[in-house]
This record gives sequence, C-alpha cells and structure tokens, in this order.
Amino acid sequence: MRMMSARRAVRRLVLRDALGRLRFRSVAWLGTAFAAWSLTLLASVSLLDTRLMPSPLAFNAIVMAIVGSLPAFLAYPARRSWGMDAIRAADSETSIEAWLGYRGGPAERLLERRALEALGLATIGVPQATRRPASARRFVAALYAVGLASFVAAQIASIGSGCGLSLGYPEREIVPAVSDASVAIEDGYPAVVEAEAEEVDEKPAEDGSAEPRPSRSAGEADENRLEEPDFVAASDGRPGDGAAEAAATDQAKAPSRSAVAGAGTRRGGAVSSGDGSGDGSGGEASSPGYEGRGRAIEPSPMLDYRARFERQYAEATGVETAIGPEPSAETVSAAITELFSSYDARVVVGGDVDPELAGLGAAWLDAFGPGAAATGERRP
Amino acid sequence: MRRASILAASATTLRTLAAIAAGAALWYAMRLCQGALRPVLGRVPEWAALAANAGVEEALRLGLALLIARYVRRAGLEPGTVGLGVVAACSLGALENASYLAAFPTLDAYWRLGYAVPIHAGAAALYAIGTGESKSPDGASRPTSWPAGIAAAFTLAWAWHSGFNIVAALFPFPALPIVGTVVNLIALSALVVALAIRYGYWSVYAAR
Repeated sequence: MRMMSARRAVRRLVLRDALGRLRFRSVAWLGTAFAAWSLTLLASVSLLDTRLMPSPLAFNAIVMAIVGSLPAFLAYPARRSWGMDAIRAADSETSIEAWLGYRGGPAERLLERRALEALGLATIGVPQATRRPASARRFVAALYAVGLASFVAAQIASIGSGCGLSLGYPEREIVPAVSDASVAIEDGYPAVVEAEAEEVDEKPAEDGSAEPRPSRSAGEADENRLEEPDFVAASDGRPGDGAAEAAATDQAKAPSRSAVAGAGTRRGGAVSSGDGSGDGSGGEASSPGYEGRGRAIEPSPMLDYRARFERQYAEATGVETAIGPEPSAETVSAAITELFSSYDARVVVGGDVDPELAGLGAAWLDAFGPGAAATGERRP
Repeated sequence: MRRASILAASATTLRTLAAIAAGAALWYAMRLCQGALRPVLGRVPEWAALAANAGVEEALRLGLALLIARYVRRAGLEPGTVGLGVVAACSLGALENASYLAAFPTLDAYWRLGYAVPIHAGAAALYAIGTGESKSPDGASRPTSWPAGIAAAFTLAWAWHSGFNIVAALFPFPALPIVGTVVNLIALSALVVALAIRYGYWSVYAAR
C-alpha cells in the first residue's frame, strides 16, 4: 500500500509539473498571439488605402494561423530532464531520487518512508518546479507589453482614419450620402431627377430660402424622395455579390473537401468581400440617391423608382410593401392600379343644400359654363 | 558557453522553421494526391470518398512523423523533438484554413480552428507518441514497439478524421461546430499532456 502511495504521489507531483509547464506555454502562446494580432492590426491600419494594405483574406488568414498555433506551443519538444528536474526541485535531501533509483533490497522501506515524507512536503504550496526561469517570464511579459502598445497605437490610428474601433479588418464606416439636386442631375438619369429638382426649385419662392435645396421640411409626404431609397432590404441579392453566390453554390460541395462545419450564410464583417473588385474595400456610393458600398453596386433608375413607389404605396395604404425584390409585371400593375384607383373615387353629396351655396354654384355655372363641378368629382 | 547557447538556440529555430516548411510541403502533397484520386473517388459513395481522402492525409502525415523520428534518432537529438510534427501539422492547418477562407470568405471559417486544426494537431501528437524512442533506466535507448503502436495510432487517427468529415458532410446538425470543437479540444489536450509526459517525465515513470 505504501509503495502504491509513494508511486501515486510521485506521479501526481510529475503531473502537476507537466501541467504547470503547459500552463506557462499557454500563457506564452496568448502573449504571442496578442502581440502578433495587434501588430497585424497596426500594419493594416497604417497601410490603409495604400497598395501594401493586406487584403481581408490575408488579414484573416494571419489571425487564424496565429490562433491555430496553440497546439504547436503546447507540443513543442519536451526535454527528458523535466522529470528529474521536477523531482530535484521538490527534493532537497534527494530522498525521492534515492528511492526512485533503488532497485529493491533491505533499505526499501526506509527509503520509501523518507520519500513519502519529502513528497508530502513538496505538495504543500506551489512546487518550485512549476516556476519558469526569470528570463522566460520576462520574455513573455515583453510580448504582452508589445501587444498592448501595438493595440493602443492601432486603435488610435484606426479612429483617426475614420474606421472607428477595429478589432478585425479595418474598414471605414459608411457615411450616408447627402442627396443634392445638382449632383443628382450629374448622375445621368435626368428624367427622374429633373422633375424632382423642379419641384424643389419652387419651394424657395414660398419659404424664402436663398438656395434651392431638397425639401426636408416636416409634413411633406415625399420629403425624402431625393434621399437614398431603401432598396438594401428590398434587394438582398445584389449584382456585385459574385463571391457570395459562389460561396452559396460551392458550400453544397464543400463538405467533401475537408472536415468543416458551419452554415454557409454570408455574413458581414471584415471577411465579406462580395464586391466585384474583390478587394473588399468599403466606401460610400459615388452617386447620391443609392445606398451601397464599394464599386460593385450599380446605380439603377429602376431600383430607385421601385423603392420610391414602394414607399408611396406604404404611406398611402398603410401596408408594408409586399412587392418584393423581383416582382412580376402583374404584381406591379395590380399595385399601381390599387394605388391610383383612389384618384377615381366618386363622392355622392346628398341631403339639404345651403341656399347661399346653391346660389353661388348657379352663378359660377352661369359665368364659366358647365364643368366637372356639376357631377361632384374630386381630384387631388 | 554563451556561444554554445546561441548555437543551440539557432539550431532549435532552424528546426522549427524546417518543421513549418515541412507542413507546407505536406499540405501541397495532400492536395496533389487527393487531386489524383478524384476521378476514382468520384465513382464511389460520398462517405467512402471522405474516408479515402482522410486516409490519404493521415498516411502522408504518418510518413512525415516517421521521417522526423528517424532524423531525431540519427542526429542524437532529444527524443521529444518528434513533437515538431505537431508544429508541421499547425502549419498545414494554417494553409488549409487560408485556402478555405479564399473559397468561402465568411466568418464561419473560424470554426475550423476548433473543428479541423485539432484533428491535424492531435493526429500528429498521436504519431509522435507512437514513433519516438524511449530511454530505459539504464540509459540505453530502444525504440518502442513500432509496428503495433504505429498501426494503432494510424487506425485511430484515420477513424477520428473520417468520422468528423462524414458527420460534417452527411449528418450535420446546428450544434455540430461547438460539439466538434469541444470534443476535439478534449482529445487534443489529453494527447498533448500524454506527449509531454512521454518525453519529458518518462524517466520517473520508468523508474517506478
């Protein structure tokens, strides 16, 4: 029983030492990963908008390589002297080592008892063997310091560049394009924009503004007509998302290639590089009136018209748009008919008529001849 | 003394870089072999194709582990140097992740860090445990029981790899990424501890 206890005790001591070393290696990996990630972030932000800036693929591949290096740190070659080093660090009188080296004989019990006493003392508090050399600890601390300094510098540079806080691939935040009539005219679709620009031009004569500006006053039913239409929600499948489509189709074939799990839904973030240019860079659309990022979003008057029509439809009927991103001609025709049919509403006016009003009506008819007012039609 | 320590550190660094390069070469060799087998595997059931691809990868990985073990013995290095096979496996995993990210640029690719990389690293650790040599208490070195141990390690690694591939491809479920990650990490942790004890503390275990 005592031999089993001493053997179990020495193996427990060895296991504690092994776990202590692996714990230190984990801390070293974490420091290395933190420093490498911070430096990569700093490099990406510093090289923003330059040719040397890493692509989203390179950035995320580096991050994944760093994070995936943990097994390499843990399994890095071990020295065969670790065991005896752990024993000697906990065995000031070489009692354990003497018992380990004894191959049986009259002194077995004595050596075992002394080894047990030494093992008992060694398990009190933190065994010395688990402490790493001071140079190694300083090196790991330096890694954390470098990582922290790089991280802070990267965030300062990221905020200064307009990317905000960057924990992943740095991208500039989208600034909503301010619609402007003059810029809209230069957009190349004068048929739609000029008509609205004329309406806007009329307003300065009423409210006394010095310059014609897009109407933003409250109470206007279509006050945001010149602003960006909300076709982002209406059209999920943007033409520029070739990579996303490829990913969606290839995802079905992916499982046969490697052991990978996870749904194939395309998400945002630094990795999404679905635009046609392939560089994944962000940026506001070049023309006002259309939302989007990058150069893959093609401005289209049909999308603009449909988005505006859907907004008018929702405002007039109180029903959220049900047309969808790709409505059929019949659907569109039915929606238009339903919206504009209200203009043909006929109101029957009955009951007693005020005699004064009747006299005025007769005088009007006499002065200006028969007209629509006689049938009671109402037009907006 | 200082010069000796610098030389030793340089040699260690060179060996590490060589392991990283070996991992890259291994990845390329795997792609070549799997590409060559694709016409044949296209005619078999999908589960068989997945298992065959996993077998190709494990066979090549075992070949690299045997090469490393032979180099360690010939060069008279510490037996634990066979752990460089895990470094090569991490390098291979990084390249595989990058190629996957290039094909499917979504954040879901990060799940591979828990679902795929531990498979490569764990198999390499298993081979390192089975192919290295051990020192007897009298100081004489002798190889472990090679054929049985290596065959068992290969079978286990192949079954593990194939199992993960087949489940991911044919029987996926929503919690698969996290379940696979947890299971993989538990297995990898056990293997890493076993590797450390095998080559760092075996003298104590062998004595008593």
